[in-house]
Amino acid sequence: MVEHRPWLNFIAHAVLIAGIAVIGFPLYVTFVASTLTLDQILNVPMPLTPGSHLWENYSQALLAGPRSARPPRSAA
Amino acid sequence: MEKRVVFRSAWLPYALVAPQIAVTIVFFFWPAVQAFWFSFQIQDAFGLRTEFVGLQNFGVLFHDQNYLRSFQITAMFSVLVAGSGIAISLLLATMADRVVRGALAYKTLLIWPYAVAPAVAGVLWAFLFAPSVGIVTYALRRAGVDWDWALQGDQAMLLVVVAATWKQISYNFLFFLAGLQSIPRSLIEAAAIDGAGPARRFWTIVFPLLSPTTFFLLVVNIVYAFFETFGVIDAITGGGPAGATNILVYKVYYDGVKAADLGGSSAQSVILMIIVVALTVVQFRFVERKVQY
Repeated sequence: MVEHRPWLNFIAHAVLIAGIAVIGFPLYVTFVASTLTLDQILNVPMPLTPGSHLWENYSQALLAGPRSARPPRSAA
Repeated sequence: MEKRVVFRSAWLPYALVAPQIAVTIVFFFWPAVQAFWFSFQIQDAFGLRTEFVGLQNFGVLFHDQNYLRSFQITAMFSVLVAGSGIAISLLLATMADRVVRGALAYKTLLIWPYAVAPAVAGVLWAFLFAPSVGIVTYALRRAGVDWDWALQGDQAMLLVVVAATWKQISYNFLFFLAGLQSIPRSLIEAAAIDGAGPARRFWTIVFPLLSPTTFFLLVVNIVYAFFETFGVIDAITGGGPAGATNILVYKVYYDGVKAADLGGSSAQSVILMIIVVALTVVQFRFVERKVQY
């Protein structure tokens, strides 16, 4: 660094952490959702901590294929 | 003293470039010419008869309110995606260039969305903001926002802009970071010795020296918003509600594949081709004349 400015370093870290929090949030939520049952997801608001169905969901996806509908979308 | 290696055989060089030329002709020129040809014809919906109609398809398009609206939507969409994507990633790259501790972790985490396919990114955001079960929808409703992008065009637009920007931030970030690291330290130190603070150094030294990168990213991002956001739009809104997110490339797909109007769709893709060529020309002219130092 060119000069010593502790407050600027603090801002830099804060901006980066905030940016990563926003950018990583969709990925995190998707991961959490992949460890829950469909009922838990549909029960608004869904929990934001990983559940216990990770193995079940991934083996379903890899070996058996989808069992439920796609995410909601509207018609064009 | 020319030291060029030349082939003595007359046909060997042509044989060596033939595969590449063949690929280009089959996968680029042929479809392009085909689209050009189709754009002067009208096909019936079953593909049984075609009729040559000259420029009628283009005439119909420019009198079609939906098409003109799609132009406006595309313009707004690409300006928002390119503008916010560049602004956010420039901010993050500047900050990441400054920090020393944890820099690798920050960079790694910020590059993640680049590994996500556009259609998957669309599904992620549609899931987060789903009108019925989305977690962000829940938070917004708690905060008093009436969030339902399946009904409200502005919100659908906002959502696809956010998803498309999110997808592109990593790419911009990488280029900005590389650009920032190639700026000579001595310039910045000299300015600091002269008494310029961080903000002044950024606007008078760093930002002008980054301008080739910024301009390159501007063109790449606009082309991205024009064409590669198809997956995002298709996965989230499918052009809806009521055509509020129906950008040009999505309309080409919809009219050609879903509505079986090959002629009109081809005319639209010819217009899109012209737009790409224009953008590319602007890029080369502008990059070569104005931004180089």
